[in-house]
Amino acid sequence: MRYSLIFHAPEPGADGPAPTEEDFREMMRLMDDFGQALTSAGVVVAWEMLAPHSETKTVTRRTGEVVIEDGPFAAAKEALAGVVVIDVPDIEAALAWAEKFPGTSYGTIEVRPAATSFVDGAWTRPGDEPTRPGDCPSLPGGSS
Amino acid sequence: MIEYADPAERAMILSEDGWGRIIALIAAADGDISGAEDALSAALERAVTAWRAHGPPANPEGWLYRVALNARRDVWRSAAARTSTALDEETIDRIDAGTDPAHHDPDALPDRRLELLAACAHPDIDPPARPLLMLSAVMGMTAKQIAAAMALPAATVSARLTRAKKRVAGLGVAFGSPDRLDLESRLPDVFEAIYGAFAIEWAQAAAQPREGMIGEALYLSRLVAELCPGDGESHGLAALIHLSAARFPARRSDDGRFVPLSDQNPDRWDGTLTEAGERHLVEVHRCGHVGRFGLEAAIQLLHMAGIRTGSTDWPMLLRLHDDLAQVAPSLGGSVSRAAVLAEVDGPEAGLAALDALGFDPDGQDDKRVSAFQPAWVLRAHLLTRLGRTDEAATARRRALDLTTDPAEREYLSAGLT
Repeated sequence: MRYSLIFHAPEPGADGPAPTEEDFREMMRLMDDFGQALTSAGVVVAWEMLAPHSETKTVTRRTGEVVIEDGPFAAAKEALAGVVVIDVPDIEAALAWAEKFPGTSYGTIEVRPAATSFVDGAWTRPGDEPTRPGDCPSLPGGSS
Repeated sequence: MIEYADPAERAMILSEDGWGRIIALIAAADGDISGAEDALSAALERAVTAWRAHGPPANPEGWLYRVALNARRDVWRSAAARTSTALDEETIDRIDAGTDPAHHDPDALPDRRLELLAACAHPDIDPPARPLLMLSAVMGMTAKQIAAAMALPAATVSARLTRAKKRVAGLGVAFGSPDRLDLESRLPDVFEAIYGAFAIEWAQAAAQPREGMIGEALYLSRLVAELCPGDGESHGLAALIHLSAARFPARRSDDGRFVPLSDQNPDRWDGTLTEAGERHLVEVHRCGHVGRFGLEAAIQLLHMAGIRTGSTDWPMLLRLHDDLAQVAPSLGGSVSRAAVLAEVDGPEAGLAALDALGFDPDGQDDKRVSAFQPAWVLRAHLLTRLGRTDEAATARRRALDLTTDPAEREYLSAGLT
């Protein structure tokens, strides 16, 4: 079952924190540790850390024509900073990983189960996920 | 805040105890730890130049205290001139006369570190910030040093320390004059905070086990045992931390594999720390009061003795666990007790004790227990002993799902298909 660990944090800048070069390197090292642990556990699907707010473009066709604009308009105190998608049996396992996410020391992690995922050209729901090698098909405690 | 003198340089002019002793004396006057730290840092800066030119004074700590106190007095006087609420002249003189080493044996600065420790563990301070505050105020560690040891961003540690010191300053003179009774009632929080510096709940997954604050926690536990020699729990805490620290080198094999306690090689335990732990445990019994930390230390020592001699006193361990469950019930303690019970009465009894905790293998009931990794590890172990191989494998997979540490994952997945 896929879970998204959605990371919100204050953006460095005028009103936000001003980490030093050393702070950045230190956090990168912790993030790298986390990534290595995710990889060795074989649960990571994707991990994106996002460029700042200001580099965002929004696209909409709500009015009927394509409108591409700079940036989201709402300036929130904390902005979406990254997303880690993991594949683990249930919410408890997802929480175990979320607790270890290094960024929680300066931001918050939202843990949300996928309602449905587009994998290998098809929609999959948690219930009808194909069995991958190494998966236990009848895991008690899983929500399947 | 002034950054302290270079730690290596500081170590040459100030003993390990010196920082905390001087900070405790100066901060006791008004509760302002930051102010005391700035004053002592400035005194250390001055010492470097003054002592280089004239040679060190006969009583370096007395000199540093004198200079730092003078700097604080200037601040107090100017604050008194600006506001009516700050310390008045009379109070300043009293602080001065009461603690001035010139009025006493110059080598005998009064020791107010227990008051300082109690202030650091004050109920108004957020519990996670308490160990940080002790490391800073009592040991003079910088936010950066603490951050590096705890694998936290330096900015985060710095912000937590600033907030905690503001809270202590808010306590004002109350910190300087706690009566003995009040101090005693605060000791459990002091012990808890020191244990917190040792048993850091690692917020991150890491490939290598982290050393953290072992040396610092050992120091603080020895300090508190020295400051409260008649309190059994102070020795219990020191025993527990020394015995646990003694086993750190044995937690991983040479090639980095996870080694559970029962498979550890006693020759890799630190003998000096083990002996110190044993001595503190003797003191616990001399004090006649065995509390939570004393019991946990006794349990550890019995396990260690069992591994060393090849024969463990399980019934005695069970009695200690029963006592511990009375004094300080915890989920971890209950799971350990189930493991001991399995050795005394058999694996089925152990499983029954696990189930009695609200443990539901289908994960439907008590989430707390069914999400507790050690409970699944034990369940897998007991099911294996009962020959219920399939159920054991399922339990082990569940334990694996809840494990983020790579070495532990590797250990648990061995033999699983």
